[in-house]
Amino acid sequence: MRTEQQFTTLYRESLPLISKYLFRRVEANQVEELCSQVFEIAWQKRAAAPAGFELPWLYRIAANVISNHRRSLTRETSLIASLREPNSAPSAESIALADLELAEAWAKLKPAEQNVLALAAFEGLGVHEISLALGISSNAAGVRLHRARANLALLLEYQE
Amino acid sequence: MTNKNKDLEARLRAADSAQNFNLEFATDPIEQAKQKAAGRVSIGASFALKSAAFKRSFLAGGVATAAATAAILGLVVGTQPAALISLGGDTRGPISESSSKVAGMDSMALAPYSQDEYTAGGDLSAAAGSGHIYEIRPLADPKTALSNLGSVLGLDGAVKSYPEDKASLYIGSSDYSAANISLYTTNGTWFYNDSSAAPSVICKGDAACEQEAEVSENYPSEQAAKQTAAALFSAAGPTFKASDIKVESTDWQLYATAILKVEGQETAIEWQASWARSGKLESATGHAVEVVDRGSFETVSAVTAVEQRLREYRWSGQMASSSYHFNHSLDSRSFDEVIEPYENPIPGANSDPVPAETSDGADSDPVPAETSDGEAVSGMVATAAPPVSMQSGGSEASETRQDKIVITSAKAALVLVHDANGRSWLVPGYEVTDGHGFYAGVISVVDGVIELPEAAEMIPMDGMAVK
Repeated sequence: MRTEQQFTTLYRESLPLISKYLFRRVEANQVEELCSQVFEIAWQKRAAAPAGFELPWLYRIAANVISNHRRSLTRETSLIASLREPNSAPSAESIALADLELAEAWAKLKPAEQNVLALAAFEGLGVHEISLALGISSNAAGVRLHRARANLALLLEYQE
Repeated sequence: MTNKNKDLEARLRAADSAQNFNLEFATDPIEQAKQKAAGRVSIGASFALKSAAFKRSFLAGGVATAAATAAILGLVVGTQPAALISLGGDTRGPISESSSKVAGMDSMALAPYSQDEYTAGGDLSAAAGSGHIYEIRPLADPKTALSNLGSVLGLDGAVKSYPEDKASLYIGSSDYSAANISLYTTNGTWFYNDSSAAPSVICKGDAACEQEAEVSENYPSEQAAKQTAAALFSAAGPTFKASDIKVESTDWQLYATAILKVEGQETAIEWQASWARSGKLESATGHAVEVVDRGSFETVSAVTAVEQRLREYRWSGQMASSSYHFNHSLDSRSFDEVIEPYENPIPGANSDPVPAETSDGADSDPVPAETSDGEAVSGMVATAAPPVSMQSGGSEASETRQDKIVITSAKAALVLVHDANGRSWLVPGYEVTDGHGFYAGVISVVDGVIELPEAAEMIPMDGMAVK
């Protein structure tokens, strides 16, 4: 079990990464508030943080915070919305300013594919870390990542 | 990873909007979290504070029989000396009070940019009309409302308020570790949560996080769920009967939903309760409100609404969830197939299968090896052509990014909007569709009754700012 000082150091090191993670996925003016939520939860639950894999664990908390935030904004209170897989992936708009073609292809991916691919490409996580961040098995993460890469490549090829 | 995949991820990284993002926090979130924990302002309190936007979004609602609580004015009001409703900056609902740390970026994120051209099809009416506006007003005594809800839920403690969020009242656990019900007094929305209803997720060492224990399905019967939900939803504000409740179940939760009906129409305002597999009520949300008729107002025709307002996001309103017509019946036990049918948008895409992923994401098969050229594709159903919902505006559509959408149906409806104070209103509008997958809600009340927010600056794809 880490000491409080160790958690403080670890969380502080993670802060810029979590901030960027949030910036890719929510409105810029929401980053600070949502980041605070993430670390409040992370501090309260620090005893549950998997040693050595605290960062993907933090991403998982952040994903839940984003999902709640997005639900609040989209006003989706319906049953169907509640059944839909939580989406915490970066939006196509966040990519569009740099690469419109890529953004168009990205927008056609399933949210689950966007999620897994973003964690690999933007957050730089490996398959096992992705599995922790998404709360799924490593095998499932690997399959999703494979599909996401292949589908994005195909979509880009089709556009070309 | 193949070179092709490396190139792909490199391209994604190059498009990363956060590459140079560096936020200076007004308050150190780590120290803030520690201080809150030390000061016993726990997650529960924080949740209530931070989830204000969530609560606001749930908007208040009324009963199936709105007339019972409505003060009917009965006048058709044409021109108003002052606007009845002043909409919030984001008609999807009030956003956080947080100040923007990156000036100018928030409006870009919130304002949908569209150059689409909307045309009224031949069958749409050019006749103006009238319709009632309903205010969704929080009950005058929120403490009593919360106590009544708590009684139904077995939470009989005192009504308290959070130190940092006086607008929120709660009963029960303050740290979100056990059952808690809170009510946001600004709009009357309440939220119940019992984190002990479902087994927690634990992470052991470097192993994947797993559920603590498998819980056998112990849902209440459909009729019992309906009766419980009806009693809970009716405890503050509207009254629902068991027959008003719709129940659906998945492998991991059972849901009961009630929809507000006004003038016999379903609206976007809903109540919902969900049970965990343990059989315990895990969460619920609803609205301690009354529906107040604020009178009848003139409305523009469907043709005018489509051709003059549909392109302008500030005239948008939320439709009832039932108005989003899904092409598949809801079979919640085949979640992936029904909720998110995957149609390959690529004509003629070939299929090179990899192991199928189960609905719970727990594959037993190993990660598939990619083919040497990295072209393996799976999970896609080849289709002859992309799903068509819009007619391209020209052969160079991808350059002009303008689509012509012909609206073939405009049904009068009450659409939901949020005012600048976080209150909710049901206003006359149209639910429009092109018959090919495009749906939207647009306000039809004549100019002057509703004050629109200032137009947000929008940044189109090419980066050129426009007003």
